[in-house]
Amino acid sequence: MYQRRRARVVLAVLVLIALVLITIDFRSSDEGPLSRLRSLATATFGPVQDGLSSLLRPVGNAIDDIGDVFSLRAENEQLRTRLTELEERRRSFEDLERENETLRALLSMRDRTGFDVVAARVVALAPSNYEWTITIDAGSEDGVERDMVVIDGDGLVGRIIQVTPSASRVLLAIDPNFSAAARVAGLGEQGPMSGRGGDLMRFLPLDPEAEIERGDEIVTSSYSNGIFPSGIPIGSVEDVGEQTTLLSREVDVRPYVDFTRLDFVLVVLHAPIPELPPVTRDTGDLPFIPPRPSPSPSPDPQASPTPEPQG
Amino acid sequence: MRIAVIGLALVSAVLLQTTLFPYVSLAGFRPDLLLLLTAAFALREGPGVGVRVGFAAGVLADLLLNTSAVGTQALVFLGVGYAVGVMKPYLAPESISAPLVVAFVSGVLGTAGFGLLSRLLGDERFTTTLVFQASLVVALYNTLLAPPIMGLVTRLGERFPPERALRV
Repeated sequence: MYQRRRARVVLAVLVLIALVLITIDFRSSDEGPLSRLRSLATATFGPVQDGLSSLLRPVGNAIDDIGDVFSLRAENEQLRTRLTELEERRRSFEDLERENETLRALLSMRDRTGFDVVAARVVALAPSNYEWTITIDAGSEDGVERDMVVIDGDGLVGRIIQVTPSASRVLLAIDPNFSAAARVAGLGEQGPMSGRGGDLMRFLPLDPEAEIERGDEIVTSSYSNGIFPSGIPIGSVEDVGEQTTLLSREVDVRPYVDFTRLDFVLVVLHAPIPELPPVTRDTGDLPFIPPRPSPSPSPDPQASPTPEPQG
Repeated sequence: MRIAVIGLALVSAVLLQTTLFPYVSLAGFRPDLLLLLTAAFALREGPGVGVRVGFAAGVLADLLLNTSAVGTQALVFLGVGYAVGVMKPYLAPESISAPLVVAFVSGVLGTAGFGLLSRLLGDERFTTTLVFQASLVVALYNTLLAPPIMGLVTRLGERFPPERALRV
């Protein structure tokens, strides 16, 4: 009981002292005794605080670094998310860019050939592993008919084998059932061309002794059944085989069209059938005679240079 | 000797508060080690010691930490010391939760009391929102620091026991 009372007395005394201190500090100016005491305390502890601050600064920096780790982790997470978004956008952009290039090539092909065409998007690839076909989103409503020729910016894609009102099926030029009349662009050498599935296409020149060389361009020819307009690029000669005992010669042709990346194609609705160009070069010593000009623009001006009038 | 040790503890608390704690401030508020020491001494040794330590800690804070009128913090701290000391008989001595509750409540009372008193004395910086935020953060911080500080005060008390007359 005595201790409690003593505690109360001490409390009362100290409260009184505190109130007096507050009063003095309030009433005195900046030069008052308590202000001087505060200055003195600051001056006394200042150097100690400075020294301790220097000692503890590394600790404080370490604590700051720990805090930074969390903020950096959050920032890192944000940047990763942003990077993923940008990566996706870049992929979409690249896809659009590729699509743009494809469409430009198609336009360029249309302009070069002068064909009456309808553009179509490839909507499905071959339904089985044994046939090389694609389905496009243009059908009879767009004017598409069976046996029409399909091309893209690089050259011959195939021909229409099935037509529905809004879609069509295209037999690709690499399918083993595909065949077309073709010729060597520079020589005019004629022959049938056929697909071999995943292998290179095969060209069988009618003249097995023709001087066909690696790199020669093979284009379609209106010779034979006339389904294909003349001059559509097919591919380039990859390998010229030896003449066989049956007096035939196989020429491997690498198609220009990348059949694994077909997005857009053109269906040739109408193409004026040009006159069959003459065989322009003999295998002997006769000078090279370029083919006669056709009514439609040449599909490959470099392969078929502008002819000079004869006679 | 005991007074010197307690004085050293208080000065060390001031120095830590001005040198290390700025690095661990939360929303700009730091733990109040002097307030926590006052509560710890009061909880262990009663209102007599609580009042004395609170007054000394308050004066130190007034002189070295605050710009308010000298005596303001001292008045608040000695009040906290007395209140916690008076509560001592009602708290289980070996309880684990009691120091935490005391640290939190004393943190709220001491910080809010100083803010409100300063406001009463005309210091317009202490807005209601600021006082509320500071009280909450300081109380939480002091609760986190309570176990080591309580342990330190217990060891000091065992090593340098108070005069019987001061115990209540």
